Amino acid sequence: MVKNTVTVTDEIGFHARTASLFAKKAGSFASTVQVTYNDKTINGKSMLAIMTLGVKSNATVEVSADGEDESEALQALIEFVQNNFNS
Amino acid sequence: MIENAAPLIVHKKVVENPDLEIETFKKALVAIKVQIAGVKEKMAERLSANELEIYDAHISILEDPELIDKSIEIIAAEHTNADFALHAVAKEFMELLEQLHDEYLSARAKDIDEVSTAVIRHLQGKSDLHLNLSKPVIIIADKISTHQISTIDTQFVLGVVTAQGGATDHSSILYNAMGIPAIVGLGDRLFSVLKNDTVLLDAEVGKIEVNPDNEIFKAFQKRYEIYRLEEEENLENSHLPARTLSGKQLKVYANIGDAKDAKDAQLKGADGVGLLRTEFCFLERTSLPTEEEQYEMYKAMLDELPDKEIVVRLMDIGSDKKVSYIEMEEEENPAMGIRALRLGFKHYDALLKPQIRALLRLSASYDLQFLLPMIATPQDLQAVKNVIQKETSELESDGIEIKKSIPLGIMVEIPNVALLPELFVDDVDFFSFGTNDLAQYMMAADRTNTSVSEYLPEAVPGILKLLENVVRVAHAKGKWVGICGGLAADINLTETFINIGVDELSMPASVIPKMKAFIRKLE
Repeated sequence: MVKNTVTVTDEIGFHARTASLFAKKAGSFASTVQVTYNDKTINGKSMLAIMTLGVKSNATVEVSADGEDESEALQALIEFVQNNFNS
Repeated sequence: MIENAAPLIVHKKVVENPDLEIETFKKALVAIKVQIAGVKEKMAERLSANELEIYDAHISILEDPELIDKSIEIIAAEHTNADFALHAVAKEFMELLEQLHDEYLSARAKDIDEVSTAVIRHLQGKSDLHLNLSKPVIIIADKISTHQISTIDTQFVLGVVTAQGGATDHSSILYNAMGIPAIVGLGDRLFSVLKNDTVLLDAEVGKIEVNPDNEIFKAFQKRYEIYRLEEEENLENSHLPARTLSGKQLKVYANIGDAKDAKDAQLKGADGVGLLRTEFCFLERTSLPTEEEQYEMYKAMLDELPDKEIVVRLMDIGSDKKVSYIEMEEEENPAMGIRALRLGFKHYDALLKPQIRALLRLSASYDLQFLLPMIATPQDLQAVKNVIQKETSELESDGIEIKKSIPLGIMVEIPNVALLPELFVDDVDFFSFGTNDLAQYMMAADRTNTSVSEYLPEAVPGILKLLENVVRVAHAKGKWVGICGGLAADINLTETFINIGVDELSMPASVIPKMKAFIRKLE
């Protein structure tokens, strides 16, 4: 398993659109993806679960990936958030 | 004459076969997804891309792995009914979102509520509104979701009144499109209305009367009678041709997007179909529709309209209508990029070929004409003609009967076609104006961008000029010209269109009886 932290710079944070974009991106990888925030860890491929974290703008989250394409997945997802959800 | 939308009741039950229950659950998710996609398609020309996103959000909820997996886990572990499992999971998510005390995320909890309720009602085998109607009613409800509206049986529903909502929200637009008299946002005082009360609904002035006295009732009755007779007369005569007093005849056709629309078109007296949208076959699916699937879907629509001339538009996906199973590159200006036939050719074997084959196979039994979207050059047109020829030969060599020389027309939406119809006229049988896209290209105003929407109506005088141009060129060669965009339904322009010489107007079926009656009164 690999993990890294990233700051969500979007002005609202993880809301429906950004959560959905992240979940879709995560879903394109075979690895399990998890997001941790405020000691809560959820399935990163689920838009609904991401929204329940209540991640506000400029909050830092931990992303982890576990599986055959974990390095690739982690790097892509971290960059995706860093680029403010533009691929 | 009143019916309350039933509250949602979910009981925990034991199921014998959880695997079967899981299958049922998955099917219900797909069914509601299709329903939402249908509503989205209906609204596509009326709402901006931002506003349409609500439907995508709802579909994402139905595809959410946590929501699905957790529900399935409960069904499997507890041998419980799917509606109970989904209800529990949805409730958990809603509570989590509401605990965050964020107005925006609370609104998303409402989305989960709306979507999961639709699935639960479907699983319970109830029509979404749970209305088992056998007599005419007025529905009084707190609010009705856009999905629920699309399932309303207009045969028995005289009208709808809701406590919540505003005149500009989606539901108002939908009621309008469906021709249902409705008042939204009347507030809490609505709840004093009791089941079986008598309600007068006057959607024209936006007022209801509950248990009216004799005088009010009579006055209303008189007003309603005049209105009803007019409507009735319009509908009765709607199967007759639309001919002006001086004898000019116009084909009044319907725009349809699914089998329900097709049925409605037949009922409302459409002379034919001027625009059969095939997008519904492609949108909101996770896999490509096969030739066989498309054949069945088109056939279901065509069977509702026997003996009618049907203009089928080949795929107009891409741009704001994205599909997940075809890789689409991010484009700066998708409305001007790889969309419609441009996309179809890029993925020919996967997209365009099965569609053309399915339609060709239907051509022997139905009166089909093909309408090609997003044609810019004669080369575009030739390319489609070539593949139709190629697929025809292939099918014929397999012994399948194909109609000889299926009429072919092109959309006039790219200004080049409107300016130089001479380049195309010898190779087509008709032209059909897509006024919405034409307006956006003429005014350089993205129709999905609300901040430039004020430019679009300004395109009308220019469009009329282009219509004159195309009609002149087409008629000189014995070809016909129609309009299938939003302007076709605008009664203020009908006389102008007739004077220009437009041959066909294609519009939502609900407008047709009134439109035909109006044309008959023109000189």
